[in-house]
Amino acid sequence: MDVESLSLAVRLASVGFLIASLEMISGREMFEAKHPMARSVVSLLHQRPLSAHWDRLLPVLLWCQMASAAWLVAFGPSHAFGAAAILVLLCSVLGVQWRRTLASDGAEQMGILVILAGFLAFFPAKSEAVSRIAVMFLTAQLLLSYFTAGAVKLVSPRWRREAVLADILATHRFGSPRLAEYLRLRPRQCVLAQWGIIAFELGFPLCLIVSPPVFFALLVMAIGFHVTCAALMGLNTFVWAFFAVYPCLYAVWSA
Amino acid sequence: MREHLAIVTLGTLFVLSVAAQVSDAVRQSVSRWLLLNVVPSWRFFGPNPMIGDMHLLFRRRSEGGLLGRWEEIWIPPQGRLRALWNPSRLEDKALADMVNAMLAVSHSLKRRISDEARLNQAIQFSQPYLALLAWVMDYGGQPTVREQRQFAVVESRNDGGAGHSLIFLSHFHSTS
Repeated sequence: MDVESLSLAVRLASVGFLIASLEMISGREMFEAKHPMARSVVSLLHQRPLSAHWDRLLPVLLWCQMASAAWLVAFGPSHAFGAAAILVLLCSVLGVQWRRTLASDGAEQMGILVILAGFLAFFPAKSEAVSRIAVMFLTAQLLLSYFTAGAVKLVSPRWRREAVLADILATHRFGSPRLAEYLRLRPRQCVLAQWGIIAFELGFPLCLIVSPPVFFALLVMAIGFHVTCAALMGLNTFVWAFFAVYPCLYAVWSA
Repeated sequence: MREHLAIVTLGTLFVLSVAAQVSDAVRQSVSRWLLLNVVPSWRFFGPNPMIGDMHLLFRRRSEGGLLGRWEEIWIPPQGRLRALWNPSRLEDKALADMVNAMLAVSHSLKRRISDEARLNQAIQFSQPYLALLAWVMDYGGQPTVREQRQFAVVESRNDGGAGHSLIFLSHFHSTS
């Protein structure tokens, strides 16, 4: 059960890394001069000059990320070369993140945790005992992520009292102008929706001790939450990174 | 043996993760040390979310003191399919990361340095300031005659209120 859950988690997280690698390959100018992740800019963040070799190494790492993620999506980590694919994916993702330095987000962090846990469980050969530890670790991270997100909103007076969701949705970056306008005209509904988000995030860890109908209802809500965030706010990779851990959550809940 | 390695690795990572949600210093220390973001921050949009769009602008000043107009550093807009495909989010996030880091450094220095001249100098030597300056110098291209450049970070809001507000204004820096 744990091996299968972790295998599915690795496959789903790999979908996210596949999309991310294709996004970076298609928008590779973001790493070139005049762009925020140019070598000259990142060198200053690293406080030492980045070698010119990175100009040749970065495309190689991005293609390795894409190829290994595609392999894992198609065949999973238990298949032949699966362990090697996880190693290549982990190294290439960390290498790209190191070169990029900027623009890391929660989806990438969760994805890295899944791949790291998968690496420990499947490299050099799959281990049932390590899979169990990895599944518990990822479930704990998932519950920590929802609880923290809810707790920091609960302590924020703005999240409790002001229509902050309307303001977030009014930005170009996370924008959905029509919904922002709708919520701005209905501040009470907006604050109510914010309390709904806070309650959902804070209450999510309870899913480990609830009955099957409540568990699946919470899971459907979580799926709906991430799909809505992707559709309204452009957080496309969060869907895959967080969906990836749901099989682990199910394994721990059903154990 | 493998089980022990997994327990130590994942256990340490989990303890660091819990600590990082309480204290930013933990996550920043690990990130600075490794230059990698392996210890996560799960504070999505809390406690004080960014409710404006950041814009990086710059202008030129000739040797004769003539000021050019403000030019915005262009970041590609997010497309209609961004729920599935959103490469522009990376450049957007990179700008936000640099600005947030510079503001954090600025606030931290303000607490320690009361003298304004020293404070300004310290901010100018901070990594995020230098990185933003390098981007501006790079973006503006090589000038044919010597000039100076200044950058500004402006926040725009689409809430029907204040519109634009200046977040940060740099000094002028020579291109040579």
